[in-house]
Amino acid sequence: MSIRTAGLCSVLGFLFMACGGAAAPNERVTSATAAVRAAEVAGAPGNPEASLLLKRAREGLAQAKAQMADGKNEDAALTLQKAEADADLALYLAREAAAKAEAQAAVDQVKAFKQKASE
Amino acid sequence: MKHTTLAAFTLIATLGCGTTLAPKELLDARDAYDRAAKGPAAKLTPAQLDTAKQALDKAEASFKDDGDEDGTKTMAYVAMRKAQAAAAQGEIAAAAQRRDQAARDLQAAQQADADKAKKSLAKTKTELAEEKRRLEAERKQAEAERKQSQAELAKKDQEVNKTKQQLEEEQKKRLDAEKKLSAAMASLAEIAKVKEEKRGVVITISGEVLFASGKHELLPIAQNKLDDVAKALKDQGYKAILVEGHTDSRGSAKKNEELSLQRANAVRTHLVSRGIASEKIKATGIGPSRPIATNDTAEGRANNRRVELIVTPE
Repeated sequence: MSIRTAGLCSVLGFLFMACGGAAAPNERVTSATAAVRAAEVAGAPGNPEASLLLKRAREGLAQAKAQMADGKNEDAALTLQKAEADADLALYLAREAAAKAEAQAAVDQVKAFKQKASE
Repeated sequence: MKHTTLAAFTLIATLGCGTTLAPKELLDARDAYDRAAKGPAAKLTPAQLDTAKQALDKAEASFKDDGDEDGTKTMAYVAMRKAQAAAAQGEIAAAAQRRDQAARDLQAAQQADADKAKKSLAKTKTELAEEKRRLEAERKQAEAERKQSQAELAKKDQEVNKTKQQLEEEQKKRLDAEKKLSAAMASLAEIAKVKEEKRGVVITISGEVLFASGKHELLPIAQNKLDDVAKALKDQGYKAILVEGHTDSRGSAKKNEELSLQRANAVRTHLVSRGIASEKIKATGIGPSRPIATNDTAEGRANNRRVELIVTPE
């Protein structure tokens, strides 16, 4: 192998070797799993939109684990980022629904009190 | 030549992003961020919105540097989710504000209601106190009226009792007087004739009992009888007494009139000496002019010779 050939290989290797040589994204698995649990605790299963996101996050988590099992750690890392983002959004949507319901209940309580007071 | 080939390859690899259209994930991320930035997150949760912006910037940089590779798409997807999460957090904060505002409104309404109730209670208390004072005043007035009525009733009772007592005393006096009168009349009836006429109670005493024939001096027995008459008159009570002397028709009328006057005066004088008030007793001589029987018989003439006491009762 000439020096030129070796240089080309190093450039191409730099461009294409990143996928195959990535480490297992175990921390991302942990982080995504925690996000899924937090969404569950926040009540995401009881909210239609959040429930879909939670399902998507769980599927992403399972897919990532499969990818890791196949040695596709870089793909798994990307999948895990999406899954965690889905789970996070599921959590906030569940909280939003709860917060809106709580606010509406408080407003209704004020209306009811004023109406009763005016009778 | 080989350097030229490498440079061209590298150029194609690096310039791909500049010529490639942005992937759908990035477009979605931009749209999500724009919507989040227009929502309450901009004001209420700027830190979360900034985090989403940083994620979007990172995706944009990745697209600029690397084109629409999987890494870029993933970053864009994550940026979209972060933008949506920021929007959700903004909504959560807005909902929390509405909830807090509602809580303040409720507290204010409750306070207003409590103040209203307090005022109403105070008003009710005032009205009750006023009503209590009014009732107390009425009670006191009623009590005063009751006491006054009781006093008046007691006074009337006292007056009634007094009147009753007076009536009883009057009745007793009247009964006593009647008894005395009866006793006096009975006593007089023994020594004289007593009868009631329009001019008063007329006590007729026979002249035979009082005087000797043709005389005007009282016989001793006559004095005793006149004492009884005086006593009976004093017991009975009298307003005025008129003593009339009467004769029969024998002899001159003038002499008979003089004799009848002298006899009437004799009787008057004796009665006055026995306690009859002199200013209430008068004497007059009638003579033979008012006979009560015939003068043709001795019995009739005896009846005509008489002294009459005309008593006006009290």
